[in-house]
Amino acid sequence: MSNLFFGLDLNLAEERYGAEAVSDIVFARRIALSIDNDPLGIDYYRFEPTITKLCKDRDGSCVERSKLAEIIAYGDAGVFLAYPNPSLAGGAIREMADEEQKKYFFDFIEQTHCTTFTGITEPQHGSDVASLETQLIKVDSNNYQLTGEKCFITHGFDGKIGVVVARIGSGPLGIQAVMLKEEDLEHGVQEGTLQRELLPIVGMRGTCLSRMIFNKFSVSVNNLLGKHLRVSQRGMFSLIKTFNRMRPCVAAFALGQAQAMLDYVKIAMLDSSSSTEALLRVLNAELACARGSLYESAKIMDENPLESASVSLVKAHITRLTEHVTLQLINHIGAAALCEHSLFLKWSRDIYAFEYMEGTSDMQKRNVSQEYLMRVKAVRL
Amino acid sequence: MSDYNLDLYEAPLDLQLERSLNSFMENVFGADIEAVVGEDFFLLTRPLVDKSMFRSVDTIGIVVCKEDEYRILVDPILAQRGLAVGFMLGGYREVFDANYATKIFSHQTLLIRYELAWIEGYMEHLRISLTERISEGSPIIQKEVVRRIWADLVERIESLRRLVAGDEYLIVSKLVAEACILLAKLAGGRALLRGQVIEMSWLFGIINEIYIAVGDDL
Repeated sequence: MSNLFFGLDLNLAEERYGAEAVSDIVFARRIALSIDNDPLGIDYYRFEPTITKLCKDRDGSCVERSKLAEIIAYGDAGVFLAYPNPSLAGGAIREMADEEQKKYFFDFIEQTHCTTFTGITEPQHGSDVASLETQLIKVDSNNYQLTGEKCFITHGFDGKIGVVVARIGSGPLGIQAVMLKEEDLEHGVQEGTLQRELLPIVGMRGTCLSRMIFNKFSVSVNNLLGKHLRVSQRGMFSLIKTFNRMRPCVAAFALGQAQAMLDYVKIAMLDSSSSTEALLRVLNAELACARGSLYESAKIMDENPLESASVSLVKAHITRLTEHVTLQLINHIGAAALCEHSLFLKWSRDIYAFEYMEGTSDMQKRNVSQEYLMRVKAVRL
Repeated sequence: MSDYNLDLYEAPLDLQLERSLNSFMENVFGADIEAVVGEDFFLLTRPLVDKSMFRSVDTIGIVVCKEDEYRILVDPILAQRGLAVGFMLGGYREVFDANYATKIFSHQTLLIRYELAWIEGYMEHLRISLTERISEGSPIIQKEVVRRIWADLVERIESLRRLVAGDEYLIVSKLVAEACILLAKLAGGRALLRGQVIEMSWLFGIINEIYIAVGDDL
């Protein structure tokens, strides 16, 4: 039996990620092009073993999640982002929800295998949480109303449960996250207080990037997150930790995708010329170096999720490296890379999405320099 | 009032890529040619009239091939624009014509001028958009990091203008790719939407790999 499958060498995949990872990789690779063509078609596969594993994840470490993200992304990163799983919303719930809310959220995902969303980004201010305009206004002691627009939300169109961040008061302490459940979302759409729209994107289409427009959308007081926490720990503070824990996973998607492209060139394009071998050796060395930094930063996040510098550095570095690897490969192989291989053509669109996930490179670099300078100042004092 | 569409979700520029590509080909090679082939690859800009007899051109002359002598690759984003990429498998007939090298150059010129026009138009759209959008109390265009990216962009565009004016295309593909990456950084998440800079950058990449690229030393 051939060990080659959709441009995968199964022996190499096992060598890279272990025998137990191969089925996750093969499944993602097998459906990569069909999900790119019809991202909502993931629903058909939602009880597949890989998705079951993801939907059962309640308290996995950042290292474990990042490793699984890299494995699945080696199959296809777009498929990973299409998969039902707790995702960033799960991170926010872990950070801010009380025990009852956590149980509801994770039980719901484990039972339904649904996609989830996190609404933070807004049209006028991007993901600058301090400038949020979406308002959460108290109606009475049991009810609030949500009004505002969220954009570029992964699975905002199809997610059955998620988290939205809004402003409940002024200043950095006036940030409040709420959990939106399936029945709230359905009711909102029926009542016309919620519009959900799939955005026409050209890369990483598995994300089902969407916009959500809330207009006096009803939110029960029971769905406000962090009521059991001190005010200073509910909003921005918890979001920083949530984002930091997610960043190694985003870097891991990018790394898995870059590794997949490198191996694909050798396996599927059957290019073993000495110049290609030399290029692949250099690029593989760069990826191996980045992988070391990635898992070190994921470990740091497991120990101290407020230490932003290392994850920001890794996210910015691996994003740039993935773009660099792709451009180098296309330059080296030429039109054949784009015109003979549907997967490579798709990947050449997908790789640009990493830049915009969980903060752009400029924002990450600002985190790195700020924290580094603060550390130097602290040492001098 | 701005002439540009500042709606976040709408494509800011409509330079009618598909129609333009088609008209460039027709103007240079005539209406009966269905694709221009570069190094055995081609971009199909309209459905084939007769799949069993595909008429294209390359630097040598007219190429006529049967259905089993070429292959078309399906991609959803290309298909939305009515485009497809393909490659020649060999075995086809070719009719030599001494004028075709010159015509290929004219075709390249039209493609590159189109790309430059799109990049300049998108840059102007972003200038207006970033002047109107406020972050942390001031217009985004005034941020130090944005100004640096802007300067890098101006550097690429000035080089592109010079090269295009001098009909020198050797490093044009590289400059187009770099300019598009800088535009994408300035545009933010909207860059990923249809008709925005990432789609155009990707399409220009395909066009340039087929028709303009000069090897792997860029």
